[in-house]
Amino acid sequence: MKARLTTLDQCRIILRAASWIVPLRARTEWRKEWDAELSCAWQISQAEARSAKRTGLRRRCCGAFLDAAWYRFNREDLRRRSEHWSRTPAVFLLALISALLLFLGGSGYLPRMRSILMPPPYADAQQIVTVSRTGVIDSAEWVVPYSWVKIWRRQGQVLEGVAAYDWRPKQSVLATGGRRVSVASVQVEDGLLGVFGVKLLLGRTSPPDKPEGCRNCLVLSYQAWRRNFSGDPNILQKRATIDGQQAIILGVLPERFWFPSDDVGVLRLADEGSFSADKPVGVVARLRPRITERWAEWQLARSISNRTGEPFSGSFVQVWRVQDRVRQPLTSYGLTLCLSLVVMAVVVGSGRLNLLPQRWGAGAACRWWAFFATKTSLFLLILLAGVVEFTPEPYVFPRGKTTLILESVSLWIFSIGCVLLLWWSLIDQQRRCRVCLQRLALPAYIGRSGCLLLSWAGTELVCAAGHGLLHVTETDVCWLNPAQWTQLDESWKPLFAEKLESEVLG
Amino acid sequence: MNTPVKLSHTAALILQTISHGYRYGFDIMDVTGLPSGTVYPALRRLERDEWIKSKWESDALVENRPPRKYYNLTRLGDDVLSGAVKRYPLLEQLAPEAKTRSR
Repeated sequence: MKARLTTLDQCRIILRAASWIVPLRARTEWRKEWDAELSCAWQISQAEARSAKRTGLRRRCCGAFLDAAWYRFNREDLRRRSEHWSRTPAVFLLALISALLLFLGGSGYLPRMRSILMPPPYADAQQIVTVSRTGVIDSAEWVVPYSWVKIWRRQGQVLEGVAAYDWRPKQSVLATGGRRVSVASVQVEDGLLGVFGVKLLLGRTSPPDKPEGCRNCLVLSYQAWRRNFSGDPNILQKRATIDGQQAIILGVLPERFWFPSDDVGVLRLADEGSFSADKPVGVVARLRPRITERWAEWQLARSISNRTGEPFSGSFVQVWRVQDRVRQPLTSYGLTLCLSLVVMAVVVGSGRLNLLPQRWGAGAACRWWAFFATKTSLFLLILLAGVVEFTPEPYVFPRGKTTLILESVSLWIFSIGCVLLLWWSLIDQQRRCRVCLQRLALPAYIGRSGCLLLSWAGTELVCAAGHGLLHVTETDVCWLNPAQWTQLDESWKPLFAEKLESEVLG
Repeated sequence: MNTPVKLSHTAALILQTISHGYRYGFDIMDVTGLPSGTVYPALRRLERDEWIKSKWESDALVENRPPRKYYNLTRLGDDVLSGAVKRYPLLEQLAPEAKTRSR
């Protein structure tokens, strides 16, 4: 027969469970106090023979969990504990990795970065080029009149295909099936998707009854289709209105294809008649195999000169591979990073920062520099991801001259961020223990600034584990040594160990 | 000039209860009606701030039960309580005097 647990037994079990929360240093006394109170209250309840009193006793013992939690998580302890952990290198790196993962999730797994680094969703990407006119100082730099596109279309020996698009995307209202959404749209020639050789995710680029093309046929970007139409596959061939004009939705682009920027949700296909001869347009073309960009530039400029008499004085036709344009920002970021690293190396080499290992073994030195490299790399990755995903998109397809400013904004942000991060990373490294890599703590001001010429004045930092001291001069002058690390010997250890145990580890 | 300490009503009530002679955790709960999850953490905070101090009963004084921990007001706690009574005039009525005051 099973013996039933009495209320006293149950209360003791509750108290024992709660005591595991209490830090070890205070656990015995905590248990003693609660056991004594419980015994006393139990005796009283037995004397009064009241069952309600016994139920209340159980409830009171449950409150012991809150009391125990106070010991474990009270604000002062938490503050001390968090300060201690935040100084450790592992927690610091974990925080950086978490921030990077947060960025990944927040941006939807770095869509722009993936579109830059992964192969594009169309065939022979190296043959796709933009054709533009450069060196013209007017409002339509980079773009050309549509009449030029008609001339280039006849350049069969250089181009396999060429298509124009309106370089100014506009905000449009798309209505279909009782749903109205606001999306950025851009008018493109109906042959543009053929020039890219892109296969649609859903649908086709011309209506079945008009295989030669149509006016106001719409193709949705993947993001717009998912966001605004919940990925509905029945959206195809649906009648719609865009800015009040009748249209039909023909297809959905594949996930990683965007044109001319990733915020454009709708491509409005239009035939040749929709573009007037003098309309400034952007141009995308497919080069024939083995045709170089320089040769194409020369041929295309010559054909325009022959037909229109355009002298191209001070300006020229530029042919630029789309893939190179897409990856151009990364090249710029890479160059900026290299420059910053060179500056950093000069700063480290100058000896004004005390970073170089002193009398260390190979293992300690490796650990020191591996931490520095990991920390700095994670910082730079976060910066790069932030700049690529969250700053104005880098310039890729000709969109007038305004995008030049946007391009430099992201580059400027990266450059300044890069210098600041590298500098901070160096300072952080300098203020870490040379043995355990913990960030040094307890800054104390030493000396008198007025006596700088006669004696040393500055801040002294100490490793919480007692490995050493760092002296940082108040003023960086040539006759004083820069930050100096003083290693403490083993005899100091008990002092710090005791402090650590009482303050942090509990 | 010292800034008067602003005590929460719960903390003031517990201080007042201790000053009236209820010195054990469970007794304070009985008198104030506050749950143990409130009283004990409050006692810890009051002791940390040195407004009360705790002592263990002498083994010689107790029979058939383990010695209990009891709490007393410190001089500082007395001062703080005086300020709190001015702030919460009904405190005196909420915590009755114990039959045997042992302060």
